[in-house]
Amino acid sequence: MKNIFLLSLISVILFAQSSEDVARRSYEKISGYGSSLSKTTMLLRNAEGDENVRRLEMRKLEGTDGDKSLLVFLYPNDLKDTKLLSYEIIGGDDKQWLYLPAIKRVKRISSRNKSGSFMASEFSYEDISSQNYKNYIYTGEVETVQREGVEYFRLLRTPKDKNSGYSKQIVYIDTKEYLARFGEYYDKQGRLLKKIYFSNYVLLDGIYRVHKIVIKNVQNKKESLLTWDEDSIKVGLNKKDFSKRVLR
Amino acid sequence: MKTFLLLFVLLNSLMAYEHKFEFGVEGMAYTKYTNEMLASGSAKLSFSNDLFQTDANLEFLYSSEYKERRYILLNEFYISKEFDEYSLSIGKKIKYWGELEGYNVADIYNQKNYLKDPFDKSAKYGTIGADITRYFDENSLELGVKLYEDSLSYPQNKTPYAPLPIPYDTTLHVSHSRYTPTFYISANILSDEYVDSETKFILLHGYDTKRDIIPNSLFSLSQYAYSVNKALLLSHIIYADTIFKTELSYTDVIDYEPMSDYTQLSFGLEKSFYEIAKTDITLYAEYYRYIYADNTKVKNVDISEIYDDDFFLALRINFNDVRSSELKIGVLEDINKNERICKAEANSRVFDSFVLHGEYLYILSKTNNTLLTKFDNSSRFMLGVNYTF
Repeated sequence: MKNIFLLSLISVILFAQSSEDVARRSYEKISGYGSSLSKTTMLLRNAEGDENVRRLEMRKLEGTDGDKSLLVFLYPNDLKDTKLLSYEIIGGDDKQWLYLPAIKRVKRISSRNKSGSFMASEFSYEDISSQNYKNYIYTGEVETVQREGVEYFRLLRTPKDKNSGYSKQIVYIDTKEYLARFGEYYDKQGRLLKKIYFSNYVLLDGIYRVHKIVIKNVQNKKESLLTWDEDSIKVGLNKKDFSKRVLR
Repeated sequence: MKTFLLLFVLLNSLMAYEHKFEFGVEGMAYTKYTNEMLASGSAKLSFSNDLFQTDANLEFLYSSEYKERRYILLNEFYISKEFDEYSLSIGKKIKYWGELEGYNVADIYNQKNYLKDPFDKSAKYGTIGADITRYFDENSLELGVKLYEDSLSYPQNKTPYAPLPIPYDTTLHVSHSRYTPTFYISANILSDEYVDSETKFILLHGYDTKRDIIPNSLFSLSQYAYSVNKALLLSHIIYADTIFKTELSYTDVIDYEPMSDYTQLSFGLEKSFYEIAKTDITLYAEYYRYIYADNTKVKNVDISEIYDDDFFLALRINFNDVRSSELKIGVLEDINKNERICKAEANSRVFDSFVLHGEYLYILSKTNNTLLTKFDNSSRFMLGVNYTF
């Protein structure tokens, strides 16, 4: 009996996972794509149900100290060819440049706007950034919960960036695939602000790619849907494809 | 024009191409001039194949009231080629050299389009030239040449904002030839070693973008283009969420005795506040100054500029709504002469492809013998809609 108890204890110690372990493992499932080229559609829906559409081309380059991305606006037409170049700096302020085609201007923008709305959607700039697990502090051991018959890891994480618009985030990761499925994001006052849902995961070359994200702002009742119409990974983009010279 | 269109149709069949067309209708109400209706538009076309890319921008403006504000213009038409570490371009092109929001001391590659709107710094004419750029990671070195000095149309007689006392003749007088090239070299340096900053140095030799106004006879005036050596510095530094900016320029007039050498200084800062009543608010504060080496000579600010000892204060409110609604309000105050220009602009998208926009401009002129004196105390109001497809 004593031996069984000891064995169980050793098993628990050996196999207990911290929240950060689960977050890292989940991140590993979606990382390793090298570079990606995607076309996305964003649907904005207000509390009355009115809808607006945005279309974007997204180019991304993975980096050990932060990802680089180039977003090219395709629709609405008046925004066409506007470009946003971002360098994620883990543990620091990101760098961002905006290219305005009407006046051919490359404008440096302050990157502390983590919580600001991205393209008037309910997504903030931090919601659409890389989701690198290193950007968060995880609290305690992971908790396993059941939701509608499915088992999830429940992770409590706090953004390291003091300019984040969130005080904490609770993310639910399925225990089989280690993929984030949904989450709850809390504002600086600790009130529930947004609910986020990740779905339509596609396995490309051994790497999971989320192809639909829905975010619902529970305070203003607006929601935004981001769907991937085209997505390719390991497309051979390099550092030069994300230098300032692409802003023209 | 026929040849150009034929060429486009032909190229279209051979290459990948993209387009962006814009058409706008505006009503302009003036307190000092006759009101007008404007139709304007642009066709931006881009062709690319394995060898090179061709870009063109055709613009038109039609005023119901003022004949000189009617034109159709191939404002840009250039071919470019990208290599791994180099890029080349040749043709008629618009460039932007600037850091500040209200006025750009350093934005001298192109002539301003005063016919379109003397108070819109983005209204510019394409310049014929060529450039080659060498890239070093995030830094770059550009060598360029302007190949031709174009005549410039000016508002005249009874058109809005005519600055000259007698009719203007578009004949351009030049110190050498219209085809005498203007050379420049530009270095762009990005750094985050001590502070997060970006700096551009430009050295230019050739015709000054600013020109003197000289009499042809008792009855008309024309522009005179003179040669200069010019040094420019553009820089910004980011500290927290504030951007500090500067544009500096020194001009040594080479071959035109009546014109004084001059220095232009400008400084500014930009600070953004996010999520203020669901809006993002950006504040701009800027200062512009001319300094002349010889006060007895012609001062360029007297004949073509209003930005001397001027303070500019503005704010931009982004409403973060699905219509991308935006409100911009700015005041330009001449500290010395107590003159003032106030401008408010608003725009909002409707039905995805249409953008409604409005503008109010107010000029308060209190001093004699300045450029603004000609415009008197006046205001204008504009309301329009743009369709992009």
